[in-house]
Amino acid sequence: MHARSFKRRSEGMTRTLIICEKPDAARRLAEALADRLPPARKRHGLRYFELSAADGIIVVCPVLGHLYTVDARGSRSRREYPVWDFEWKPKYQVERGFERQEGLLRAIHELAQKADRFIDACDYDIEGSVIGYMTLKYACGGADIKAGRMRFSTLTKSDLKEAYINASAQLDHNLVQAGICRHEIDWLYGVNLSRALTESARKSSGEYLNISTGRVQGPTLKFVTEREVQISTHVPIPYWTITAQADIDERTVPLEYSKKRLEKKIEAEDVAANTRNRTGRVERIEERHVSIKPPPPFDLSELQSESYRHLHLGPSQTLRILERLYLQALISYPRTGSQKLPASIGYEAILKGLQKSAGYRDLVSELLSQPVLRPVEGGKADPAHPAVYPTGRLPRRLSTIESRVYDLVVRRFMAAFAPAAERAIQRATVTVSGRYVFYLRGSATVCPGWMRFYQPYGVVSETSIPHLREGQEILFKEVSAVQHFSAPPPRYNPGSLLRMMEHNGIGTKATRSGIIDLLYKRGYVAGEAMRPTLLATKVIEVLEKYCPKIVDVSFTRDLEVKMDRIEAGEATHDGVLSEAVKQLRPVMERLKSDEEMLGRDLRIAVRQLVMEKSMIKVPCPSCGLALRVVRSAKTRKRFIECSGSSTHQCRFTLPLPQLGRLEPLEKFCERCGFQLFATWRWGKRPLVSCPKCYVEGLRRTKSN
Amino acid sequence: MASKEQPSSCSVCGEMIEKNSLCRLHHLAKERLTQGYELWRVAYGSLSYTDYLHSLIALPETGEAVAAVARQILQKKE
Ligand SMILES: [Zn+2]
Repeated sequence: MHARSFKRRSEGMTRTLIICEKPDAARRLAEALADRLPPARKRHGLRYFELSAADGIIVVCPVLGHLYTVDARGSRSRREYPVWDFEWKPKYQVERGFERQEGLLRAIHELAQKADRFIDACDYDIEGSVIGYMTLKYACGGADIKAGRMRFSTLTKSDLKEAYINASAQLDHNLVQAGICRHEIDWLYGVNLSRALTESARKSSGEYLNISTGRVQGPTLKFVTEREVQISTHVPIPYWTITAQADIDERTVPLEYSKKRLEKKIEAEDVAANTRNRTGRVERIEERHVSIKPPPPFDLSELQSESYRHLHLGPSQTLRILERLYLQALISYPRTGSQKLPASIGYEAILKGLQKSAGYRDLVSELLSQPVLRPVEGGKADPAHPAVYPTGRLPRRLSTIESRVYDLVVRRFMAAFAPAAERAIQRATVTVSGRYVFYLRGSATVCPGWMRFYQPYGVVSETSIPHLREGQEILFKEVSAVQHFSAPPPRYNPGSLLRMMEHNGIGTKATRSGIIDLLYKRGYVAGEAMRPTLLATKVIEVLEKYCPKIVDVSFTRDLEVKMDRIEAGEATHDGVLSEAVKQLRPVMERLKSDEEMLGRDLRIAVRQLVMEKSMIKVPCPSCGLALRVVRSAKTRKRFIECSGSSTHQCRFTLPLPQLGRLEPLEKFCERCGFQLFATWRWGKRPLVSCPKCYVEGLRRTKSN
Repeated sequence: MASKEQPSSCSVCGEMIEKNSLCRLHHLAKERLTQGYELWRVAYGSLSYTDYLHSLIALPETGEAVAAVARQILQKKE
């Protein structure tokens, strides 16, 4: 201790630059490291903090996500393919809408010039590691080789302080290399395949429509189109079930036939005819108790799926909310694959924190009165972070939806420490004529255990059966054979598609929900029960025909496994990248040589989509020509315009909602007859509106 | 390459044909339709193919491609 402080003094004042991933994280870190938080400083639009600490000056500066991105080397046409030569460039030079980052990079560069010690404090995962590394390498003049790394799972003061003191002397090279490799491979696959599709369709149809696909996007979309084929080729098969009712103790009770499904009509009718109005005999009464363990702590995908089930939030909306809760230091890092809660997170302190909230007080007190606190854990592990858990800090201001997600996390956490639930399962066996076997079933919760902690999310049904004794005779009243037809499998929704991706090991916990969003944005799927569009069907058909490997789940998964091996230190960036390129090269050669045929296969779908996207079914009220949806080249705003605007000088226009996915409906306004539009925004009900009535409403309010 | 007597596009939807003058989707639908008939015959004891097709068309659970193939077969019979 003495030796260390002596050494620091002898070195004089050091100037440490800490890179954080987001402004909120930077403020929290500065708060944790400073005795009193100084006001933020500003430089070229970057807000950062400068603190004086015992060991010198600490500069905490945020970046806004990725500042660098992969792009083709040099400046070449965006239509050219295949492209193999790439480099990392500042994002503002490559993508629209990131102009602000130019000043940010200049500011970081200037701050770095004065610093002599560097620490990467971005989120501890693949993306965070890439963000930190690229900033240090390119904006801080090669500081990546001397930078240290902070590791933390929550943004609480105590965790941040500890992470600062224990910062490692080096970056996580494996994580960095794995992340870089993933970005480069995804870029190569995405750019090359999308350009091949877009260009061949453009040359064949004369229409420009951005047809995108990607390494993970393709197989994900294939799940949706394959399901649609199953639904479209579904042949319903008839089957019968028996519904029976008996009078017991002046109560009419439903009975269940021993065979749940009968394949033959004659058999079903036989059962009904020979048991209706007959007497049955209670042969056996069985009761067993089952113990149900609490569900494991939340990893991200299970949390997204529960959030979809109970709160009706899409996976990416849930992730955005979790991100906000994390930045307020209310929950731990949400992008985790772990279902474990190590003791080092400090169970008791967290629970004591939660105890201060009136809503959780009584439940927490119960948990704290247990002799030991030991959570159940699931099988999944993540080397970087534990399962999602509340930090014990209480929220001050949350929106309704944020507080619901927070409540879900807290209750799942509490449930992990609660005792198992106990359920009593009863079954009485009743026979008619010794041949026909029926059951009377009941179930009751004997001890709710964790279920009470997880309410209202884990509710189970309770059904009691009347008091019976063996040998008792009961009268069957109504018995009938009910005909059914087998149903087609359900369409995917964002939640079930996410689970499917996870189950098949494609994508990462950080990217999956974004890929699902992209399917909507690109016009590949519509509706909450995801229905593929004609374009989606065609794209998958074409990819299967010309490069089946690209949409093959096992090929995609293999590549994921290889990239994971870099993270584990078992493979190298260069090795995996060159293998991925080796796989892609022949695919691109074939697509290039078959460009014309490929274009012909896509042509009809592209033309139809371009038409559908823009045409409106109601003629122009002022000149009678067709109306269409267009986007202003200047403002990028979408609106309705008359197709005779240039040929007939018709000036008719109508505004449209600017936010969300717009869909013209097959419905028409009851008041004015104009076509209705739906605007879809995540987690909200679609907004159905009439553009014409909207404008008339505006005019009325103005004239009033 | 299709020979001169064979049509070049699916007789149900006009898409490129895969087998027996049907596209991939409608070929698959036809296959499933044929398999389904056996199960329906077992279920009802006896059932004519025409009744089977009429029943399928009327059911909401029937897939669109299957219904289209069923309608086409019935049309040809008339
Ligand atoms: Zn067809």
